[in-house]
Parts: sequence; C-alpha cells; structure tokens
Amino acid sequence: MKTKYAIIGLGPAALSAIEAIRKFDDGKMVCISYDDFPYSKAMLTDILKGAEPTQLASKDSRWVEKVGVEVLKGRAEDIDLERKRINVKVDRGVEELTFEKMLLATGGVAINPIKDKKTGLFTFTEMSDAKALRSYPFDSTVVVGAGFIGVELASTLRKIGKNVTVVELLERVLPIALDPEGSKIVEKMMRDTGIEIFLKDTVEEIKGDKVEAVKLRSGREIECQAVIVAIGVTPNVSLAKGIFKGRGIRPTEKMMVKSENGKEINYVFSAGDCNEVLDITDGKFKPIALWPSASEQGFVAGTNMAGGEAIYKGGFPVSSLKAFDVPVVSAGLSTGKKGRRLYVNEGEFLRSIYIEGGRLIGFVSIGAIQNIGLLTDAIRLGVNVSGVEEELLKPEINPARLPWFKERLKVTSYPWLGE
Amino acid sequence: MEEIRRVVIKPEWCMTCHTCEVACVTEHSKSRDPVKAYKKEGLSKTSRTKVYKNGALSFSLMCRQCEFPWCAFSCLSGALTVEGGKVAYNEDRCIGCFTCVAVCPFGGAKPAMNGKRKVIRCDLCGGNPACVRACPNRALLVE
Repeated sequence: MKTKYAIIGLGPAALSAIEAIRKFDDGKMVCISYDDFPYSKAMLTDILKGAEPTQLASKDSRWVEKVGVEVLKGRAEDIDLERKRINVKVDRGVEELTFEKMLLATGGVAINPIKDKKTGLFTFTEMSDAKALRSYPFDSTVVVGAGFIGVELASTLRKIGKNVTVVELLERVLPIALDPEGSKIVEKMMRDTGIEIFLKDTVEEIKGDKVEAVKLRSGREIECQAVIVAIGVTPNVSLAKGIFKGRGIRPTEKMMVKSENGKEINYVFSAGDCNEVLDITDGKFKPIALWPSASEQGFVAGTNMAGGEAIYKGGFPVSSLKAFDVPVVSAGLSTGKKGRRLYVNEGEFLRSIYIEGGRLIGFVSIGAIQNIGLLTDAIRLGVNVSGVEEELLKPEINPARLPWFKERLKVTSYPWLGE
Repeated sequence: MEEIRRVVIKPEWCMTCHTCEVACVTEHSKSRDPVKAYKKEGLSKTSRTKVYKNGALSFSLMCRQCEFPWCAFSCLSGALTVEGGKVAYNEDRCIGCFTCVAVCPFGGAKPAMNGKRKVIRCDLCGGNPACVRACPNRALLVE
C-alpha cells in the first residue's frame, strides 16, 4: 500500500498531527495502530469502574471518516528509511506500507522491572491491561509506584471496594509532581480513603506463581492476589533504532528526526511520549509524557509535515490529579529541589510557587485552582514575577494585578505555532 | 444566527458594574430570571465571565477562543474540541480532570466542584452573548 503520510500511533500526538496536516493537505494518510479507536489512557481507570471501552474514546466515532485517515490495524515492525517503507504486522500477515512522510508517535511503554511472569502481575498503561485487570478476580492488591498512574489507580481500586496497598520507593507520594507538603496532603487523602501506603520501600519478592503475597524490602509481607506495577513510562523507541541516541528521540524544533550523525531526515518526524524534549524550566531534555505536551508536539510535527511552519520551543510538565474531590495541580519544577519557594499552607489550601532569577519555574496548588493557568502561562512566557509574588499565592489570582496581563489579554495566537 | 469569533474585551470602558456576570448567570439558568437564578438555583458562582479590577484597570474576562487553544489540546476526554476554528465544549464528556483549568492562560475554564467535578466555560451563548448585550458601556463587543 502507498500513502503520502504514515502516522505510527493513535494517541494525542498522532491525533493533533493528523488534524494539523488536514489544515494544509488532503493527501492520503494511513495511521498504524493496534488500538481499535483513539482513546484516552488517562481514563483507563474508568474501565475498572465498569465503563465500556468506547466511553474512553477521545474522538467521536465519525472522526476517522471526517478527517479522512485510514486506520491500519496492526503493529509497525520495522522501518526502512531509505526506501521509505514500513512493514506492518496485521491479522492476515505483513502489509508493506510505502510513504512520503512519516510521523513516529509511538508513545511510551510501561516500566516494569519485575521480570518474572506471574498470574496476577499487571502493568496499567494500555486498554488490554485495563481489561485484563478488570476480569481478574482479586480482593487485595499492591500497587507499585505512587506517581500519577499509581495514585489514580489506587484511588479507583479503593472506590470499587478493593483492599489497596501502595508501595513507593521514594520518601513520598507523587514525588516528581509535588513538593513535600503537597505530597503530605495527597498522602493523607489517600490514607483517609483506606489505602495503605509504604514509603521508601519496594517489592522484593512476589510469592506464588499465581500471586499470593508480596514481600517488601523492609521485610513486611502483604497478602494480595494482584500486583500492579505503575512506576511510569519510558519512550517507546523500538522502531527508531539507528535514528537516535539516548533514552528517547530528540527531534529538531520542527519535530524532525535527526540521524545518528546529526543530519536532519526531512521526511521523518516524531512527537509525544517517544520523545525527549526541552524542558524550558531547567534546560534539560526529558520525556514529558503528558497529554498537553504530546498534543502540542503533534501539532507542530503535523504542521511542518504538511508544509506549514511551526516551532516547538520546548515545554514543561503540567498535571492535574482527578482521583479526589480536592483539586491538585502542579506544573514545571515543583518538587522543591530547585528555586526559591514561597508558599501559603492553610490546611485546606496549599500553594507553593518556585522562583528563579525573577521567573516562575514551577508551582503546586491544592484546594483552589481557579485561574491557576495564569501561573502555567507565566512559566511559559518567562515573565518577571518580581513584586507580584503575593498575588500569585492567592487562591484566586486577580489577573488585573499582574503587570503583564493587560498586554497578554490581546494575544490569543502564537506565531511560532504557525497560527 | 450570525457566526462570531469571540467576545472582545475593552478594559478602557469597563466600569466594574458586574452586569455581565448577572446576564451570564441568568442566561445559563433554568428560570432565565436573575433573582431566581441567584437565590433559588444557587448559580451565583457559575458566571462564565468574571470582572477583575486593580485601581483604574478593570475588565470582564472569559474564554478568549484562542487560535491555539491549550484547553482543547489538553482535554483528555474529548469534551473540548476545535470545531470550525473555535473551541466547542461537550459538558457530558467532561470528566472534571481540570487539565484545561491548569493550562488556560486566561482562567477561561472554570472548575466547578459542587458535587461533581465539571468545567464551566463560555459558550458564546450560541452567537449572541448575553454579557455583550447586557454591558451598558460597550466594554464587551463581539468580533
């Protein structure tokens, strides 16, 4: 089969790339995916609550037809960059797809250091994982990892009546997204629902071929029928060997992939969790495996693939926890390790802001989040926040008190994003 | 109804009378009556637009209908989409994750937490915004 555009993946990066391409070009587009339809991985816990897979769809059922993309159900197995050819393993064998331009939007894969194959051992990043866990009978479970996936998962499992123990290697929950005080609040919310938490600990041994119990490094033994590893994801770069070095793909600011010798391959692009991108808050390249980042990268990639012009200037993590009634939002460097911390902690309300060189580099907000996006925007714009720190700590920031806001109000487009 | 792009904010004409907020709440109420909307329907905190003031500067602020809408690009559930260049909101699909709240540069996506987590945002009243109609000093216009 021949196509003008080949898109590998069907997650947020792929979706926004597809929509961006369609602004410029109605040329043939084939999307390779093992999923039946685009869905939201952030909603996978809904499956455990009894939701139908289609309820997780991130686009309505006519979207594929509307944007005019052909979904080839299968797995891309290898890519011949010179001949611009992809071998796709499909139900009936192998399909050969030749393309003019290709997007790698292969996402991330779950990190799972437990190598034994056991009945009752799960990861939780794919629809198939969620379905498998839903149909597996268990009363008690150990969730390994207290990052976003782990916390959301633990909270959902508790809500549906399971006994849940969370084991986290670091000294607090959400250790990468929150600062110590923020973690303390979330830890209390978790414990209040009846979740047990063991910090600075990890699973050393799983007992039974079919999970019966785990033994922790601390020596503690916990009876459980399921162990769910939710440590995080790492860029899925199995297809990209030979065209990158390091942990993830590092594309150019047009999201164009470079060969190992640094030469741009002007017909291959990459976007989303398979990438390592510039974090503007610390200047380091890292995977920012979150929906907003993937969408923006996909948008930039798609625009450039179809002959438009857009630039990805780098990003930073922005995340929001949906597990509890109390809203928990954080962005940028918000663990307390970097920057001058200013904060308000009134029990019900925590706001920490982190400032470096007059610029906001991160924040945590728990309990009040109206207008919190103004802080995200301040990080993105790199504005000088000297003199308005107090305002930034208010539960509802008054934008009229921010010196840059009157000018900001006039801007709804970003030239570098080709808009 | 005529297609509009967005509500235009004119800070120089805003008198902080808050009439826009009342008009917004009333328009989105069941009764369409301001007193009932505020006193009986409990909608006092549901205005999609909000007046902010600092000294002589004031404005009513709602969704700016960005050309690059961070909210729609961040929506995990497909509730916020771009339709014909504008952001459309399907409240039924909102899961209250508040990612849009976390990324909106203008506070246009407002978190509602009364009972169920949902987002409230300006829907342009289908093309004839109540706030614009109500503003006595043309501090809100349409384009």
